[in-house]
Amino acid sequence: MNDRLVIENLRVHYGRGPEQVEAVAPMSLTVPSGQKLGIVGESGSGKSTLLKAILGLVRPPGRVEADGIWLDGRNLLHLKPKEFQALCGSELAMIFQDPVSSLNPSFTIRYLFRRAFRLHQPELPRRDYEKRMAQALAQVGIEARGALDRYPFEFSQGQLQRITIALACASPRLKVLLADEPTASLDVTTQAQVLDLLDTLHTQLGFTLILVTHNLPVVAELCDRVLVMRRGHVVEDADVVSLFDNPTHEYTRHLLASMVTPRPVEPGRRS
Amino acid sequence: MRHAPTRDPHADEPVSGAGGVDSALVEARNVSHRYGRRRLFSKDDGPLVLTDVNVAIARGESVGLIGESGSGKSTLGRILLRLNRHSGGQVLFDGQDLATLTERQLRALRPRMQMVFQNPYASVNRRFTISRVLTDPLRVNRIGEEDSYGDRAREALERVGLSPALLSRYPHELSGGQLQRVCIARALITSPSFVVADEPTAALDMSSAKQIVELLGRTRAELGLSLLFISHDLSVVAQVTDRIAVMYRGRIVELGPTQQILDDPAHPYTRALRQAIPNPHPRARRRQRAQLAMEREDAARTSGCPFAPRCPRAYDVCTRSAPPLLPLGDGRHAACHALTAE
Repeated sequence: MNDRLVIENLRVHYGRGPEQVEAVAPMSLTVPSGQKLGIVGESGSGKSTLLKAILGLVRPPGRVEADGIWLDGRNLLHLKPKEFQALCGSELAMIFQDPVSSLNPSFTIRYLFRRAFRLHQPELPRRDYEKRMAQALAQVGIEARGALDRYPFEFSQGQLQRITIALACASPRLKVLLADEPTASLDVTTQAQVLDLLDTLHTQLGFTLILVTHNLPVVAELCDRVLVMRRGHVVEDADVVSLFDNPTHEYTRHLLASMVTPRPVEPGRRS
Repeated sequence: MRHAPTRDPHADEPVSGAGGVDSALVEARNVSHRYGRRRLFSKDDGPLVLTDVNVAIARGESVGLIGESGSGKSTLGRILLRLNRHSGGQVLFDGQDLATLTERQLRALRPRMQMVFQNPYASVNRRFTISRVLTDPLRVNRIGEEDSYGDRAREALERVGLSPALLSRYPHELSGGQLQRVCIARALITSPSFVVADEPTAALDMSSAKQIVELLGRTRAELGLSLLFISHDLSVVAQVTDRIAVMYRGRIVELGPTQQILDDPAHPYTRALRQAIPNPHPRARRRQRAQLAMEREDAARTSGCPFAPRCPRAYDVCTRSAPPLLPLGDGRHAACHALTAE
């Protein structure tokens, strides 16, 4: 496995001087190709800020300092804005917590796809748009024929989250998918479906997944490796089985202890 | 089929006893509700959000109400407190039909029924200090003397494990978990006998959520409260409840003791819910779970079982008539043709 995403000495801080708040303390991270990395922590731990920093979405007064963020050897910090824009949404894509507010309500699904293609895949000829929309939607189990001419409000939350995933995975060049709490605003049954979908797509498309969540069971189900963050610091970084078996950091143990879960379903029982 | 329709001897009783509660404090009898009302030139009524709901909560009992968004669980919670009126059926509180009470009689009952909402920041006045937030229910309901309010507020805070130093603070100075504790303290300050907690942990971090759940469980036991705990998360509800009612599209589809619902869910929807809980251990990871069919829009208009379009084991009859909530013979009730018919 080659190293897909390499982050060196990334630091995010807000404000200046003595009142400066460090949202992400200096950290380095190497994510191999195809890995499913989970980042867990409570609100304010800096986990979402880390994702935003990778995508260049931290706004002033926030400041990102880093020696480099390399995607397959290219330093994202040194790209021209145009190059970076072409890369976002094609090689590097993100899905957000709330699908309703991440899709523009005044446009149809077809328009949203078109705009994504135009911005992020300029090399794609127009005549292929329809075909690619249908493919992308089929991947997430939504029939394009009924969906493309509808507006976001006409879908349920679970369907909308599928559509945002379809938009994010529409590019054949997708390398890294960043997901910020993609299931937090969904019902439990829908949440399970979206998790299964992410897992299936990961197997089919082979992207690297970085999943930010505060829900440890979700990480247990989906991820290979876990990063535990607290107050901007990475306190533990381990593969998922050893993290759940032998948490080394006090805070990880605390998080594991606060999981609210009934006994697991015994396999083979009922159904 | 595992649940042969062996009717239990109480099956002839009116369904209102669903769950076998003798001394119900709060009871919904065939409660139906639609939002919106018939307009002059339109034949269409608003959608039916609750259909013939029967549930009884005994004194000191804790019942969980789960279902997905839009299933009507919050509406039912609000109707039980008469924060919303209902369109059909009866809601009894301590034997009195809430719909027949005058405004004055209802006000007298208000201190005995309280609610904790999902988002603590949205459920307090942010211009009030915590002390004022806590004592406002006393002031509004004219309980006790103004002089005693300071002590009462302090007691209330200590009961939920917060320092009295917070009394002079404002809501924005508290964390979500702390403020939710304040909301619980506010609900308890009028010494209620019935509390509805509507997704009290949904807006909180995992560790504060766990603390809130534990706090609710503890205070309920100490004070002998009847509690209705509403959530979409089976694992949260399971921590504090004696029984669980599962709602789907405005109907209760399964009702039974918590452990039984968790260990051996009967209704296909409950099973889907149970399977949907992520497994807390990576070793026990399931690759794929049984897929529920996607929600269909036309399900709202069906005269059959609302779950039939998504149900993995639907029969013909399921699309034609809606199954009533019937006892399964093992202490719980389910509304499913596949389980109760034959």
